Amino acid sequence: MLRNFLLACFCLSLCPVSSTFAQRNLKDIPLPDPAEEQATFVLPEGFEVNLFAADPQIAKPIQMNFDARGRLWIASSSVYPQIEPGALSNDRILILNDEDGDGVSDSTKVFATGLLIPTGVEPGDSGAYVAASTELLHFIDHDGDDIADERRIVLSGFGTEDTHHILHTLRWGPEQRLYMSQSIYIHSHIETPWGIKRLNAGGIWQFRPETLELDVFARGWVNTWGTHFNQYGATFATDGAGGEGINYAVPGASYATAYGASRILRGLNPGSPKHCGLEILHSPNLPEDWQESFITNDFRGHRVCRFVVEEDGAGYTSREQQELIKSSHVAFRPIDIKMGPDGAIYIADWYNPIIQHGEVDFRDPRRDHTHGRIWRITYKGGPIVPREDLTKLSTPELLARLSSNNQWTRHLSKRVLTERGVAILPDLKAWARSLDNTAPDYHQLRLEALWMYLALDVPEPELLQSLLESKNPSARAAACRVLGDWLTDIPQHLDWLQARVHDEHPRVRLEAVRTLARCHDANAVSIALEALDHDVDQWLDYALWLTVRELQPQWQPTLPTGQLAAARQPKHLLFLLKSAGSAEAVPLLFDLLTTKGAIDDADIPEVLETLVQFSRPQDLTAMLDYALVSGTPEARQAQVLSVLNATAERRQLRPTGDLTRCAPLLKSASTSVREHALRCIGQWQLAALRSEIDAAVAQSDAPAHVRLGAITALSAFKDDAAVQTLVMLIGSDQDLVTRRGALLALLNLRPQQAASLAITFLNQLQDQPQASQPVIAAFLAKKEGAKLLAAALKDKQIPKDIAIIALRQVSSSGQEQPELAAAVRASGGVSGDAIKLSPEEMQTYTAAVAAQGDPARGEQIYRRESLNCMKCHAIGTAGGQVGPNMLSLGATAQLDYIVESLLDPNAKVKEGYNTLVVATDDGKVFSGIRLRESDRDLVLRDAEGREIAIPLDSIEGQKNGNTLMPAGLTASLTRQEILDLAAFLAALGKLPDYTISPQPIVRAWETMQPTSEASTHLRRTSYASAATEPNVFQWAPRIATVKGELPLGELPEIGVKNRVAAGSRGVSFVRCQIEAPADGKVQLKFGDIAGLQAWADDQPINLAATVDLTLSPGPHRITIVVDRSERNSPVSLGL
Amino acid sequence: MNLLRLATCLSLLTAWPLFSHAAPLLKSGDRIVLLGGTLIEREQVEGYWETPVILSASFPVTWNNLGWSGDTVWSDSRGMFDPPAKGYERMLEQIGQINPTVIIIGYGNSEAFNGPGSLDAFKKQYAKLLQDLKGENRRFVLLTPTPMEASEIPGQSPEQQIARASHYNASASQYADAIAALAAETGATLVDLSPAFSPASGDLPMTDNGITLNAFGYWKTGQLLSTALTGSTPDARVLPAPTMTSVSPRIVSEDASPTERLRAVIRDKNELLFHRWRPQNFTYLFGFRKHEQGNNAVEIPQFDPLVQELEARIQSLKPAP
Repeated sequence: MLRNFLLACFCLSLCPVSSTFAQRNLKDIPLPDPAEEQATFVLPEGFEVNLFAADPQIAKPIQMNFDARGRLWIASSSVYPQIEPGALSNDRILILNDEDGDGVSDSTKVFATGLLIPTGVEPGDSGAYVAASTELLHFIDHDGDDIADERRIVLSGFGTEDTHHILHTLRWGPEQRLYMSQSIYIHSHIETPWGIKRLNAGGIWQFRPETLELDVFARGWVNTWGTHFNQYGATFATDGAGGEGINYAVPGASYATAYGASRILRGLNPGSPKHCGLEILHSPNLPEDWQESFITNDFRGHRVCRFVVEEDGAGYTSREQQELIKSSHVAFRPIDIKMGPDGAIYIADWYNPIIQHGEVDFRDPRRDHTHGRIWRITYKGGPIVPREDLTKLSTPELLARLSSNNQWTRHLSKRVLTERGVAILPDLKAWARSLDNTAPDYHQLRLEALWMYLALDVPEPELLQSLLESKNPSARAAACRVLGDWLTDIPQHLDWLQARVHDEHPRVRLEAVRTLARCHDANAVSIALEALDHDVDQWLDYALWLTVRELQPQWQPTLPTGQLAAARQPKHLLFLLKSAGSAEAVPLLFDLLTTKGAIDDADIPEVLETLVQFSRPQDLTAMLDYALVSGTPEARQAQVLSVLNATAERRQLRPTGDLTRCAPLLKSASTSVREHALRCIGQWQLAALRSEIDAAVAQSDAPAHVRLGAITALSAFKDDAAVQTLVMLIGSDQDLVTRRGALLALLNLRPQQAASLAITFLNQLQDQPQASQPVIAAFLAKKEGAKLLAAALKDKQIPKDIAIIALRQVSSSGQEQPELAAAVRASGGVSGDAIKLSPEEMQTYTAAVAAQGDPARGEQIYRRESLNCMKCHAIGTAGGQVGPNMLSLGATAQLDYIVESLLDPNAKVKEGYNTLVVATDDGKVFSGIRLRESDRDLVLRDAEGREIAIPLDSIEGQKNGNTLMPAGLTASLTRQEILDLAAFLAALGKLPDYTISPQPIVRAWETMQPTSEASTHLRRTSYASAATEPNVFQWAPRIATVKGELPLGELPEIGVKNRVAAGSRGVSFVRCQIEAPADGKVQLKFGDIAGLQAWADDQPINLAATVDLTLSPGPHRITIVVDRSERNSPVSLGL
Repeated sequence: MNLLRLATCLSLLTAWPLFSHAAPLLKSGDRIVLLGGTLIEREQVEGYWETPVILSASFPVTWNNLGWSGDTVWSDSRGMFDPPAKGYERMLEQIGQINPTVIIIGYGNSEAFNGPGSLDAFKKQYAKLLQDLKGENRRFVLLTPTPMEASEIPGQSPEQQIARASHYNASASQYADAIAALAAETGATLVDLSPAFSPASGDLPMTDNGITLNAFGYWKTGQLLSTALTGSTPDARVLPAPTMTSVSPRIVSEDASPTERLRAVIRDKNELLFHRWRPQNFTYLFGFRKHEQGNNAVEIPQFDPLVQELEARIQSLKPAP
C-alpha cells in the first residue's frame, strides 16, 4: 500500500495539476489504454474477451441494442451529467457494424445528433426509439443511409430531476411492447390519446407505439437499469442502487421505494451490490451450464456478475456464481450487456473513474467525457453464429428462426415480423399449425405464435385457450397474461381464469390472479380469492393482496348486499378485508373475530389493526358490549379493549352510550384486560371512574404494565390533581419503571416541570445508564422538548455515560438539536463534534491511512459493539439496514470521501439516507429515513431499524434533516484506530480478504448470551437443549466478518458447572437459519470441525467437513456448540 | 380520413360557437409568459406561435414558455418531490420573477379527460389561478383546449376513432365554454383555437396522435394567436407552412429565408430558456440533495446573458416592415 502511494505521488508530480486536483485522492487515475484495461480482466476458464469498439469511435456508451441486421446501436453522451451554459447539446446515437463478422466493429455511423443526454436507444420501425431528457423520440431513416431523416416526439413529459434517472433501459418485450424505466427521483406526466399518465418515483413503463397505449408495468426500485424476460415471458429487473440483485417483477407489483405503496416485494438476492443491465444467456457459443444464466454488471466493483435463477413456488430463487469478468481497473465500468447476433456476449464499458454526479462534483476534472469501450466475450471453441441480415429473409424463414437457440436471432426475427404487420398472418397461421407437437419446444413455439398475434393486435382465442390448457406450466402462466389484453374479445374470460386460479402450478395461479385484477367485475375478486384453497407463498399472497385492492371499487358496493361469493367463505372474506379494509366490512370482520376458530392466531394483529382503521362508532359500541358479555374469553376482551383504546387515541372515536358500563372490567382476573380497560377510561375521560384510576396508580404491587396503563389513564385527565400525583410518583421510592412512566406522562402535561425533574431522575441512573434512553427519546419526540431539556441542564451535571448515550440519541434522531447537544456535553463533560479537515489536513490524513492504517485491525474496530457500525450498516447480506451497505465501498469511494464520512458524517450523505423530520398535529416529532408513502401513511425507518407509520392526515410539516450517522462517533477512538477503520473501509470490495465472495456463506448468526439461567439450564440438561429448547435461552445477533467467519474472541463464553473441568474453558453457542429449496437438498460446509457439535433444528448432525442433508423445504435452524478448550479458529458455515 | 376530420369539425362547429377579439393586444416591450400543459410545452419546439407574433408586432416583445407536459390548473405536473400545491407556489414565484405584462394560458386539455363531472372544480381553480396571477396592467389571453382529431388516433378502426374523439370533444367543448365564460367575466382575451381544425384543401393533419399538435398544427393555430395578439399574421409566403409534420431539422441551410433563420434563433432561445427555468438535476441543484452538488447551481443564472443575447438577435433578424 505504501508503495502504491509513493508511486501515485510520483505520477502526480509529473502531471500539470490544478489546485483542485491536488486536493483529491487521485492516485488511481489510469492511462486510458484499452490494452492496459483488458490486461486486468479475469474471466472463467475457457472464456476470452476482445475489444469490439473503443474511443475515439465511440464515447460514453449508456445503452446499446442490436438491430435485425446485426448492427449495434449506442446511446452516447458527453454532456452528462449536466449541460454547461454556452455548450451545445450534441450527444449522439451511433451505429456500429462488424461488416466482416470477425468480432471487431469496422464502421461507426452517426445516426442522430443534437441530443441532450440520451439514456436509451432501441432500434425499430425504420429507425430507432431514443430516450432523451423529457422525451421519447422516434428517429426514422427514410433513404437507408443510416442517418436519421425524421425526428418525432412520441411521448413527452418525463421528469429530469436526476440525469442518471431519466427515461432509460429500452427493450422490446416478448410481445413486442416497448418496456422502459425511470428511476426514483423522476416525476413524469405524459399526455396520450388515452389520458394523462403519471408516474412519481421509479418504475417500468410498458408502451405500445402502434396505439400510444402507455401503462406502468411495475413500480419502485431506485434505478431499474436492467429489465428482461425469460423464454416464457416471466419478467426480471436489476437495480442500479437497490442492492437486492435479481428482482422477479410481478405485473403491477411495487418494489422498494415505490411511491404510494403500502406493501412491496423484495429482490431475490438481498445484500447484493448495485447492478446495471440484465441479459439472459441463450447462445450456441456458450457451454450448456451457462444457458439461461442471468448476467448483470456490478459497475462499482468492476465486475460482470452471473446468477442462476430457478423456479421456486410462484416465484424464483437466484444464486450468484463466479463472475464473468472481474477487474481491478478503476475506470472499467460495465453498464450494459447484450447477446450479439454471433452468440457472443457484448458489454458496454462506460469507462470512467468517477461514476456519478450525486457524490462527486458535476465538474470534477477527473470525470471522463471522451472514452468508452464495447467488449466482446466468447467461449473458446464454441461455434460462432454466422452473420445474417434478418430483414432480407422471407416470412416463413423468419418464423422458422423463432426456434433458434440464439437469443438475438429469435428476438429480432419477431421484431421484423411485427414490422411487416398483418400481412404475415396467413404464414403465421400455417406455421403455428405445422409445429411438431412432440418436439421439446412445442409449447414454447406456440407461445411465440400467441405473442405474435398479440404484437399484431389480432385476438386468437382458440390458440390462447389451448395454451391455457397446455402441459407446460410456464406457457399456461404466460397465456394468462396475454388473456388480460383480450378481455373484451373473449366474453368467457372469467371462466378461463377461474380454471387457472385452481391450476396445479403456483405461478400460473399468480398470473391468473393478476389478470383478474384487469377484469373490472366484482365476481373477479371472488374467483381470485379461490387461490386461497391452495398453497399460497409470499409471491402469490402479494399478488392476491394487490388484486383485492385493485378491484375494491368493484367489490366494495356489493358487501352490504350479500351478493359477494367471497363473503360466504370466512378465509376468503378475512383475506379480502385485511387486504383492503372498508367501514362496511367492519361488522363482517368483527363477526369473524368472535367466531371461535374462524381466524388463525397469526392473523389476529392484522385483524385488530384493520378494525382500528375502519371502525365506526356503532361498531365500537358493539365491541364494548361484546367485551362486557359474560363468557367472552379474556384474550378477546383484551384485544377488543386495545382496539377501542387505539381508535380513541388515533381517530378520536368512541362507543356510544354510558361508557362507565365498562367498570366491571377493572375487576377482571386478567391483567391485560385491566390494563386496557384503564387506558380506555383515560382516553374516554370518564370522571365517574376517576377514583378507580387513582386506586390503580397507588397499587404498588400491580404488574408494571397495569400500573403504566393507570398512569397513562391518569394523565389523560390533564388536571392539577393528576399533575400532583405524577410529581409525587416521580420523587417516590417506587420502582424505576413506575417513576419513569410518571415522568414521561408529566412531560405531556407540564413539559417544563418534567424537564427539571428529568435531571434529578437521570442522576439516579448512575448504575443503569441505558435506562435513560426512553427519557431522552421522549423529549426528542416532543415539540420544543429538546429545548426544554437543554434549558434544564444548564449548570447541572449528569453522569458521563448517560451524556454519551444521550448524544448518540440526539445524533441518530436526525434532528439538528445543537442546543441540547451542547448542554448534554457540558453537563456530562463530553466533547465530540464533527471534525472538519482542511484540504491540506485531508491530504495528510489520507496519506496516513495509506501508510499506517491496518484493515485487519480496522475490521475489529468496525465490529466493536460500542461503535454500533454493524447496527446500522450491512456489508453484503448481513447487518443493519439503516445506513448504506458497505459492500464495495472501497472499490467505489475515494479515500478522502471515506475519511470525511467518518469524521463529519453530514458533509456528504448517500442518496436516500437523509432523514426526514416529521411533525404531527398531536405535537409529536418523528425522524428517520423515508421508506415509502401510501395513501394513508408515511413510513420512516428510524435509527433502530424500526419502521414507523405516520398517518398522512396527522402530518403538520416535514423537512429534511441530517444523516442518521452520529457525528462525533469517532470521538471515542484514538487517531490510530480511525486510521485503521478507514483502511478497512477502503479495502472493502477492493482487497480479496475484504470482498464478499459470491460463494454462499452464513453471515447472520445469533449467539447465546451468558446468563446465569443459561448456565443453570445447561447444567441440568445437555448442550442439545440449545437446539431442542432454544427459547429457554437469550440470543443476540452476531454478524460474520467480511470473510464470513465468526472470530471466537467475540463469542460469549458460558461456563457450565460439572461440565467444564477446572482450568479449562467454557463453551459458546451460535445458531443461524438456512433455507432448504423445494427438493430439500442442503449442503453444509463446516470446514475444520475441531471442537464443534451441531444440530439441524433439534436433530444432531453427523459432523464432517461437508455434510449433505435432506430437509423439508423452507427455513431450518442450525445450532453449533463450540468447545473453547478444543478450538481457537473462527467458526464459519458455507452453503 | 377526410370524412373523419370533417366529422370532428362539424361536431366542433356546433358545440363551440366562440369568437375572438380582433383589436391588437400587444404593446411595445411586452414580456409574454405562456403557461399551461402539453399544448404550451411543445410550442417551444418549433416556435410556430412565437415566430408570427414576432414578425407581426412592429415593436420588441419577449416570450417565455413555462408549459409543462400534462399540467393542469392545479399544477399537477409541477410538484416534483412536493405536492402539486407546492409546485403551484413555485410557478407563481417563477412568474413573479419574470413579471410579465401578458400571460397566455393554455389549460383544459388534460382536465377534459376527467369529463364534465370535474368541470366545476376546474372552473373554480381556473378562477383562482387568474386571481393569483393578477398584476398591475397585466393582460390575460385564455386559449381553448384543442379538440381531439379522430383521424389521427393511432391503431384504431374509424368507428373507434370517432367514438373516442366524440367522447373527448364533448367534454372538451364544455371546458372551452367554461374558459370562455371566465374570459368574459375577467375581461381576458379569449382565443378559440378550434377554427384551425377546419381543414383547408392541402392541409396536413394538425396532430401526430389525435391530441398533441404537430408542427403544422402549431403553424396553423399560430395564425389565430398572432391575429389576436397583434391584429395580423404573416403572409404564408413569409412564413410558409411546414411540409412535414415531424420536428424540423435544427441546422438551417445557408440559403434559408430570413424568416427561417429567425425561427431557428427562436428555437435556440427556447432551449436555453428551458435549461434556465427547468434545469435537469433539480434534485442536486435546488432539491433535497443540494447540500451535495448545490454549488453547481451557480451555473443556472449563467444562461440569462445567453438568452438575452439571442433575444437581441431575434430583434435584429426581424425583417424591416
